[in-house]
Amino acid sequence: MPIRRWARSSAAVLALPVLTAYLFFVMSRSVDVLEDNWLSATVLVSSAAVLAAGPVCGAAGAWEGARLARGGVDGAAAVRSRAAILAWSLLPILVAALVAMLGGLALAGVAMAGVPGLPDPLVLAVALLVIVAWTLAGFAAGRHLHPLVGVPLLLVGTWLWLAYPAALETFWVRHLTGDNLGFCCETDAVYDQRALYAQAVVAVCLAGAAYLFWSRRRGARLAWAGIAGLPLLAMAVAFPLVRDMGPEAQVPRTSGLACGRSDGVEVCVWREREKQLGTTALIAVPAARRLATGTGQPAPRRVTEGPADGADSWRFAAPPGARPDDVLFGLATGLLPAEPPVCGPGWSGADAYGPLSAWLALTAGAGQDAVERRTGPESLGAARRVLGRPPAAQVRWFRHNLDALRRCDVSPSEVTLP
Amino acid sequence: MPISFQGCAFGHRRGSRVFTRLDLDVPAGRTALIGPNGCGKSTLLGLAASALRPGAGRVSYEGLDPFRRGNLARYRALVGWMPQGIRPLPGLTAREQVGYAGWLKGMSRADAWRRSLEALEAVELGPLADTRCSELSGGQLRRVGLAQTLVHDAEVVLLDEPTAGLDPEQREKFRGIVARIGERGHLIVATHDTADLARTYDSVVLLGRDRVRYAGPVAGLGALAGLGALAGIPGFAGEV
Repeated sequence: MPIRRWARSSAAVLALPVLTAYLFFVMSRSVDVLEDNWLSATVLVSSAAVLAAGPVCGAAGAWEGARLARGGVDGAAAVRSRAAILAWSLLPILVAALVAMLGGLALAGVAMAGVPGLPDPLVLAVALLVIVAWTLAGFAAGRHLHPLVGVPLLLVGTWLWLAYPAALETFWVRHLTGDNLGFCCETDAVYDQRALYAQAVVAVCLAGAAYLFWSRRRGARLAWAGIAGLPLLAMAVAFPLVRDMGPEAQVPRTSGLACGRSDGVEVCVWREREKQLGTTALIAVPAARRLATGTGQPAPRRVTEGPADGADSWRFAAPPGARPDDVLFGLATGLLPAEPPVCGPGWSGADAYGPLSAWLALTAGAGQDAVERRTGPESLGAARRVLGRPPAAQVRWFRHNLDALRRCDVSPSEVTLP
Repeated sequence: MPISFQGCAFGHRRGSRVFTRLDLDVPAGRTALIGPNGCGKSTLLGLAASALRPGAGRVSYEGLDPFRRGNLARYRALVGWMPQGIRPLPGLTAREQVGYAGWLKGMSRADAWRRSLEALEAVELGPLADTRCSELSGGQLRRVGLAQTLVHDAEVVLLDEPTAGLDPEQREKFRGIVARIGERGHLIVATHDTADLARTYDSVVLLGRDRVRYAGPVAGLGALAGLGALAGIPGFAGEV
């Protein structure tokens, strides 16, 4: 039978418009806040595709499973293998999911126009695997459930499994589902592969158990052992991978820098921002020298958006479409600790953050208006007062308050206006 | 012998045995399988189709045992089976249904599609090829089922109650089709329709509870009729 004939009667005909509409709805809420890197676009597309196609394909699978059961294909003494019958039944649904995902990628591509790079194939492959697994689960359930029960059960049940864990305080569960809510990745981060592997393991085991459940023969004890054992295997392998992970499945990025030299200093930006390398260098290198002088430390030999040691190399972060003040502010705050120390409730070191940021930004050359917008008038006032002192006094003030940010036993000094 | 049952045992559930030890050779040609309700006619055809697996013993066609490693696909490709209830896949037309059955039987999609129309024409359903199965009458649906067994040119055709529930006109039409099928291969028909057995079939198998009561030429059944052995077979008029 020609493929178009088979596809005509498939649940995919109904599934495609529904899942495409839902996918575009999910994506349209997030596409505007995409980071300027293809990984974040890929994760957004994969998450949206899983959330849209998982439930719809599961429900469509349940319909197809019920259709084959009602058609008596189970006992038809077929020559074709069960795997071939299953594949032929689910092919139109999975093609529909793929088409929807490609549509999502096209939408993301428009938003990412001009950004170098490509979608991450591994992230997309795992998303497809998750969709295949839920389609198979629906198909297996459809063998035994009336469509009036199986279709809504798979539609709602799958959606709950995919969407609900993201709302739980128990973080590891969300990393098993495949729906990452677009939580990854900022430009200076990459996907935590542990989450991808865990999702793949869960999906493969679910697909395997579903296939065994659908294709088992009467009294096949080995099949029942597999059906019961595969979910346990999934948890045994996937849980250790993700149990220590936080809410976001991302880790710091270590590769993908584009570098150039300016006035003896190497300047590196993420390759997605390579076009801005020249202008960034013209701003960042003199600013780094001013900061080195102002803080009483040697000038760095490298200024980078990537990993830095804080001595020879300084780190800065400039958001997508950064303006000069953004670069200066990124460089200035890059000298401050990224995380506060773990102290008791009486710790007051955080009070130093605003004035230090303002003083560093002004030292780097940022305009007062820009600094006030970011730190507020109080911090700007404190920073301006310090700037009126001799350089050595400013260095002392900076070092003392930097210690206050790093240690629990040091209190901030002169961070408020009298 | 085209189909041979040797020491076959089969039970649907624990404690519910249909056959404990069945030995039967079904000769080539057109064979009618008759017997009272519940004697195992459908089970016998299911075993012959390899849709059911015997608990003991073996079924074979020309020496080919379907449940020996590597034989199942080859065996099933040789056998066409129309079960009692024709259950079309929702949404398919008659031709799509027959084409899908051909694909299930191992044909390529293109071959199955081409042959599906020929099979429908053979059962006089050509004009309704593009009608959805859900819109067909019971008799037409049975003919779709028959076309499904013919689409892949099976050497052995097994039909389970093909005329049950049909009106006299459709029965007559069906008998004509069945007779034509029998001319080109081996045919086993489980039936309660015992009218004109001698005209339609070459041989007959009479099943009783857990045993074969008669297997041989249709003419030999007359003696059994005289002994009252055919009592309890619905519709059996006592004439052969």
